[in-house]
Amino acid sequence: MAGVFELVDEYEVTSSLTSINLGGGSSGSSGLNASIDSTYDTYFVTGSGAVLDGGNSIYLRWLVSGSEDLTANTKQWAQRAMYSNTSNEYRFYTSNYTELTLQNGTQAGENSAFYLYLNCFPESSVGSMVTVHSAWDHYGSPVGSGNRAYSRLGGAGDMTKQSCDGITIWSGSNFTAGTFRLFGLVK
Amino acid sequence: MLEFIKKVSNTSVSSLVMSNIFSADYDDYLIQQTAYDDASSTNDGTMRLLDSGGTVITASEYYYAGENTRTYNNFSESNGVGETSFGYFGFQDSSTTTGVGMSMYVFKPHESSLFTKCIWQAQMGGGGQGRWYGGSHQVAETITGIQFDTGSGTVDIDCIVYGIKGL
Repeated sequence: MAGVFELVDEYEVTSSLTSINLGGGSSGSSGLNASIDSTYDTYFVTGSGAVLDGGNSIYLRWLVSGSEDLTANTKQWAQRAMYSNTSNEYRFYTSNYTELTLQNGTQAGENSAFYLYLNCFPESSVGSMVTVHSAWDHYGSPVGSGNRAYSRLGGAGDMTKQSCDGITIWSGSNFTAGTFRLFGLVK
Repeated sequence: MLEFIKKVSNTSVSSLVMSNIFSADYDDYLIQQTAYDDASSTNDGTMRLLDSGGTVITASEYYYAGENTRTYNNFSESNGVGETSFGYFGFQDSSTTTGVGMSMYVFKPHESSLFTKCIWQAQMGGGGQGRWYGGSHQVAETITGIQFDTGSGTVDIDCIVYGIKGL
């Protein structure tokens, strides 16, 4: 039915790993061989209960034919970094990834959550765009002092005119828990 | 996909309780506030969570941060550390009846080992501003519902809850 979100891919972390691929065909973490393609124009992503085993961050990269696009300086992103304990900041870079969170807490109960909209991914004649809104428990300073909630709002784009068939959610630490879902908005 | 769970409405109330809306059936939820208007006095709405027994959590356990995109001035920001509620939901001036629209995602409320995350966006006629916030209830416990409060006076209020369904 038009206008309904349909589940395309899903991965539940059951053992520690550093990245989760949603879509990307056979490179996908779920084994469902799902891809972002022209079946849908708009995709919606949720990540929740994401727990890291180190005070690291969560990032996103674009998948092209199931492989991470590591081409330097092709992803542009600008986000409002919002802090419970101090003034907000602008955060913007050109790189080969985008941040979704920064400096996650690792104390009991601390975790991250986010939702994303993905547009233009299947089209080869334009870039691939992501909007981001996230929330997480920050590790505090000194580390472990906790009691801070941070949030991000903004966007990121792959400025290369190419089709992207998935995303990878990754960290410099291990994910020990988390639920990640990719939905397509029925045309 | 989204599955409808419940719609709760009331008129001329200072709070709206939505109990037993979170369960093990879903990990995450979308809540749409489709009415928050006809305020009897100027107010700035807040939101609290309900624990496993359905009791409103009023302890200093709410942490949040966000941005206010204002039509009448430079953008502003607000935050809270150890507050007794999540703040900055629906602002209404008693002289206006133009309402509030709000969307909020609630992540893993039923998971007793995690801090529940809430991410909300709202646009309000009173004061002419958008609000973009993220927050964490920093006590690990099962959350079963929410309560919206005006803080002052009464409003008419409607809310719809959807579960985000996975495999």
